[in-house]
Amino acid sequence: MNLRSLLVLLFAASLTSELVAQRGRARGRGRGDAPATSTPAPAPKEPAKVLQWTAVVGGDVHIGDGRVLRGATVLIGDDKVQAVGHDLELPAGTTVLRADGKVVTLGYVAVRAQGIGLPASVTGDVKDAVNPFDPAIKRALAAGLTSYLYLTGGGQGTPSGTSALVKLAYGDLPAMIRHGQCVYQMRAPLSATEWRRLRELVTQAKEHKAKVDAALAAPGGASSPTPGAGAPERGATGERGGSQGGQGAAPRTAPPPSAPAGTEELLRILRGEARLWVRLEAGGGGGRGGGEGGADDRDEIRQALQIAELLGEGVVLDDPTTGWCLADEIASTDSMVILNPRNISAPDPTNPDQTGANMAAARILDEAGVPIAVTCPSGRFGGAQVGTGGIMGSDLNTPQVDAAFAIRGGLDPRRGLRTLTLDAARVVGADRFVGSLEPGKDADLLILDGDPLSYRTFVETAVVNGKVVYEKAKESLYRNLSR
Amino acid sequence: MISMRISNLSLLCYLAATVSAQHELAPTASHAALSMQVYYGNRPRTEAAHKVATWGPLKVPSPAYAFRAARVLPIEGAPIEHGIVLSKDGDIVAVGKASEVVVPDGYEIVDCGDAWLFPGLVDLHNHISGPSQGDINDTVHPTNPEFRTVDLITMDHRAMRLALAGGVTSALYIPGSGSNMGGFGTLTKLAGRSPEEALIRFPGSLKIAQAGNPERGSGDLGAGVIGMNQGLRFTLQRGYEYWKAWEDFDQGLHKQPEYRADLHYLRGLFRHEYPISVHTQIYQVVLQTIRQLRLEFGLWTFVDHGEFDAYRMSDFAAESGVAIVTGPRNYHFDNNTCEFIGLAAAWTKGGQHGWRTPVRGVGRDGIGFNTDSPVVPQEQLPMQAAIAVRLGLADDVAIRALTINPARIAGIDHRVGSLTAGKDADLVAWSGDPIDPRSHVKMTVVNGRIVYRRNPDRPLF
Amino acid sequence: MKRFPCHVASLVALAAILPAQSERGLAIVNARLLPISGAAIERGTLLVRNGKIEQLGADVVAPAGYRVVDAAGGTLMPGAINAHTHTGLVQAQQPSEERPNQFRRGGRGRRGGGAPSGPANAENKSGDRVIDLLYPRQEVFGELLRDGVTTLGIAPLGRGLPGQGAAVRPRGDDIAAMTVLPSAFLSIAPVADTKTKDLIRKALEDGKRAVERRKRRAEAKPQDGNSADGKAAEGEKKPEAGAEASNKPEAEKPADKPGDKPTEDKPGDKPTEKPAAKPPEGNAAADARPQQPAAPDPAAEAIADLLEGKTRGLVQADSAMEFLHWAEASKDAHFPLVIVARRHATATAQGSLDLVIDKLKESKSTVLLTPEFGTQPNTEYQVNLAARLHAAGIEVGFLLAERGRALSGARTQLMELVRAGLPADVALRGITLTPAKVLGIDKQVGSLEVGKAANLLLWTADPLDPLARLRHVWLEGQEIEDDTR
Repeated sequence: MNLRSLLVLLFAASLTSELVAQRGRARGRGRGDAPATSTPAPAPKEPAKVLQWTAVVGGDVHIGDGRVLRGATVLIGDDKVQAVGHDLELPAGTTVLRADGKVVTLGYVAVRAQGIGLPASVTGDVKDAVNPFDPAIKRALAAGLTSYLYLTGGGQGTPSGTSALVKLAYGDLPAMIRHGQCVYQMRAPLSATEWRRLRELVTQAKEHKAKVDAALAAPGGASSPTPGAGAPERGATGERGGSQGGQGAAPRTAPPPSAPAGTEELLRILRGEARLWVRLEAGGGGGRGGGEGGADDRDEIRQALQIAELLGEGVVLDDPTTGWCLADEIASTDSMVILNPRNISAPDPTNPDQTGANMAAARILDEAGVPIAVTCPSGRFGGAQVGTGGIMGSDLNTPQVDAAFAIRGGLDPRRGLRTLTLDAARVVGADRFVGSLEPGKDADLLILDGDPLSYRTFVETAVVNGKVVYEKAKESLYRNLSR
Repeated sequence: MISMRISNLSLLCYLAATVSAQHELAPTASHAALSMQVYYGNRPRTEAAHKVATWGPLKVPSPAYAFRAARVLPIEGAPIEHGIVLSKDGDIVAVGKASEVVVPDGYEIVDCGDAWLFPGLVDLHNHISGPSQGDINDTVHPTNPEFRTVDLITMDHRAMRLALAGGVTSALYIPGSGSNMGGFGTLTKLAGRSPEEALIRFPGSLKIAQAGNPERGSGDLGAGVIGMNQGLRFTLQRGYEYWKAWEDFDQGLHKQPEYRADLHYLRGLFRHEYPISVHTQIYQVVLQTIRQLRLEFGLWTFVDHGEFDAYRMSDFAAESGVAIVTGPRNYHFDNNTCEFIGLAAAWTKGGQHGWRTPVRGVGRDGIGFNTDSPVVPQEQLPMQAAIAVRLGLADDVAIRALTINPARIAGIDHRVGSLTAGKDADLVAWSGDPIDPRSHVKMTVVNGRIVYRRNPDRPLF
Repeated sequence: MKRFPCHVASLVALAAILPAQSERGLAIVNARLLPISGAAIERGTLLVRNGKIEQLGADVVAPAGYRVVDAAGGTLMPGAINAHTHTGLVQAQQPSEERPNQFRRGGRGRRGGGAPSGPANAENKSGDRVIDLLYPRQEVFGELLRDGVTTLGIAPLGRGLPGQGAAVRPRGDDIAAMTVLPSAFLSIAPVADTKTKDLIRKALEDGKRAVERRKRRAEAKPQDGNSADGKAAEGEKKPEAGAEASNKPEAEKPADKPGDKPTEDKPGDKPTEKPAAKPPEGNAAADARPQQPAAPDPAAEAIADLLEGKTRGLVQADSAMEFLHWAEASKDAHFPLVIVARRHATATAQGSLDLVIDKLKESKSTVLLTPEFGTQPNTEYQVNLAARLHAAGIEVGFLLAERGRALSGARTQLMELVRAGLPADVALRGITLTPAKVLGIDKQVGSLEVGKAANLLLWTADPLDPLARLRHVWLEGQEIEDDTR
């Protein structure tokens, strides 16, 4: 490692701190805003270990917070971002991807998607069912998606379900499942019995966690439990190669105490290894008929926030209708929101300020400090897929259009890209790996032919884990079209 | 026997088409020659000359406004920087540069700041107008010419308010595709103190659905494509005879025919007072539509949806004067080549279209967009243009396809579709490019009255 | 020409199975000889005696007393071999979810388009031999033989590790007469599913342990030959030798004990050859104690044979995705690998196999595939997978239809592949010598070489000429009559 590459890393470190220093927030407990929330960002990889350097050179790099570095370079070591900036010296043998006159952004994270490299239902571990050659992967990459959350099951009175962060690493089977069980799902409201059961389990889980933490803190104590210790063997792939835990890295002196039954999911949520999504049973859209709907899910949202309070961990509200009325309450619990900006519904005319879903929701929630991830409308003809028979603009073929509608409703345009990248990564519990241009995070990048949030912009090149996996000029999908 | 009559009928209609004079309803073309001439048959020359259709009121009283904006896009004519639009009593009085147009006394100046002023948008395929949606696919008979949407229009409907917030000011509300002849649609403004005041024209069109959807009722007699074609011919033939009887009566050749509620509005088709809007897609079906309705019966016809590989008929549609209102899918995924094909671009430009030698397209003037609301909510009509542009349509064509083209295709371009003096004062102030989903509507004006102003705290859309 | 001693043995062995073998020699003269293993001989003679190729060449003269067949300029090539087929297995032997609907009763059949219930049925039956399930005298064997298919590799049905495949000749009144090699390969049918992959992982681990046990025994013997432990090691020698013997080609077996063969082919015979029941298999620690040798698990022993390179693994993988899942489940296990792609043409949404061409090369796999074009996903652009694999240096062989005019059909398809860039010699090798190698019987069949079985096809022209007609089929020197030809 020469002196110049050290400087590169120093520069990268300063950029990271800039990225972390974002708009001031009145609320939160000091951890709602940093890109890496519950776990510290992994340290930059030792450059000595890098086998393949890649650099995206000359593009206008949108670093995620609205700022653009003109004509900058993104340096990638193997599958990780190493540095971003101007005048970086490239190590010998670096593969250069020219992006002059182009726009460079992070790849987008779809919080809701289906039919991309995985069947609708999987028995066993998702990594054993992945199809890394699914043509839908290419269509998703062409749309700018580089990862998505696979989620099935769950939605009961306690956290459950199967989930994984799927990387769209075309052709690379082991790389496709980045992080297993990053999300569990439950529902609100809960019955009195379900509340009692949840409180019991949370108490047990917290006690167990305290015991393990104490053992770890003690000098010569038990070795760190592996991530997902006690999690179900199957389905929980666990992150690979991350800084977290490092399975079997440290010699084990004593086995960690085993977790009480039924607390595995809660423990992973409490440790920040998984995110809890709460499905609001009475919430969501509202009819599009003639009548004034009066859609009101405030009670369900408040119950979900009560779960967050109980855990001491923010939850994710899945497409709330009236989240915008409770923005401050959501922010105070560090909770987050999945939003389809076009999913609007009529307010109750007698209470128009506290009912219905409206276009301003994204702006109001964002201003309150609530991270928001946007999705496309669900429906018969569109839905969360990159299909070949839906309605373009209402499906996942154009994720930027969903962010655009949030901006139409008033969201600061500089914060539009976050809804597809950093905040989406946080919502799916994978911000340790994806969602920002920080050294050490996955090198998932797009080279675009223009403004990222424009409906006319095409992905020219998609890079996942440092490898070029899609080139518009070489794939037939959009080869015939130009901006 | 029927075929004999049809051929006589066809001949008659061809003759009628060739002798039809200049249409006074069409505004004087100030732009370059039309890329495609819409076939109107022997359409009556004035609204007053319509016998079957009812036209909505003109010059609906409204305040005198002078709308000033950074940019005015009149559609018919070049964009005007720092422009002004004067309106009074429902009509546009003048359009021009703010520095050149003199604002008369009594005009209230409405400063739209840096907004873009744009004509109200026209959606020619829309099902949401009344309190219920369940009735749009009503089917009583194999063909249902007795159905009409005009009785369903409910003003101040939330869907209409949303549409105004999306810049849509005129819509053709048509029955669904439950049967292959769903009934008569209504062309209406989306704001007005009553349905009568909002009315543009009834019937707006006869809704026909070819293949596909109406086959859902399979099991009844004549619910297959071949049976439906027979059903259509049979019903249109009866309409033709009914129209002939009234023509004869008007010329004193025959006693007054008995009034038939089911056939009454079919008369207007043969007088070319309004078109047939045909839910039709897939090239074979579009081919069948053009041959049967436009050429065989000689009727004023336009294509709705026009999806899948129907664009391969672009030359035939252009030559037959059948315009295309495409949407809401907006693309075709070609499973021969693995390519996304933009439908509007393919219809407009023509081209090789797969296996054929290159053919002409319907051109700049032959294309419009629809939402098929509630499939895509009507306030999202401009997104159709956005996706069409993404997939290869020229910007200027996309803007026309939201405004003047659908107006011309439906025969209401003397009232709406551009910011032109004498037309209805339907205009929309946009925060920017109307096609970009990031732009929002600041204000909407219908028939000279401000019907929507955006509340930034609670924007409707 | 170099002769191997085993040829003598196989000659004797075959003579024993085919008592009807004519003593009179056969001379096919005036023929274009396509030996496959070498250059074509434009005009030559091939002599057959005792079911074997006795001599061939341009200058060979038919000895007196030989029956002479005038090829009239036609082309003579070796008989076709289909190395992976389920021909002759009855549907009842198929796992229930693969059976056609009529076999499901009482509406218990799966409704809708759900995933097949295969994984639940995946089992490790590597100890089972398909030869024990086969029954002779089925019409289908005659159909295939008359069409020119002279050797079949019968693969057991099922998912996971369904058992050992056999090389058979499609003729004979009993299993012994049909058998060419009873345990020709291990059949592997992986599924992209945790349960199946775990099954494979575990089976390979078991196999590895069995290999280590064998090594320990082999080492223990010379070291402790006189110790008390040596007795136990001695006692285990027998099954090992038996297992090895059963996997040796027929020709390599002692020729002086013809009676062995029927015994070997009897169902359940193989396990009983091994020592009587021993204490159940313990963990690794228990294994280390020589006084408690584990009872040989036939499945683990079969996989140990595979890992020692004594047999080949035929892995069904139609797509790049399936290959990668297999590679992942079997990583660190190295053995002679053959990829069998029966449905590659319709599995392209999982990636055509040429997308993992580097990994296929690395694994030194031979690929057996149906002689079809695939299409690029979502397009009608054709993919000549065979040509692409060949160009990358991968040996390709072809699968023939299960029944009927299997070779006639494949011939037409091969012509298309050749027209689209596959070298003609690769096409013909792919239905003869390559599948013979896959089955481990390339010293007996698959080419026109002296000493090999006289499995011969005489065509009126080059076999890839559309106008060529099959005039004669010989199986081990015997002419196969066909009135319809």
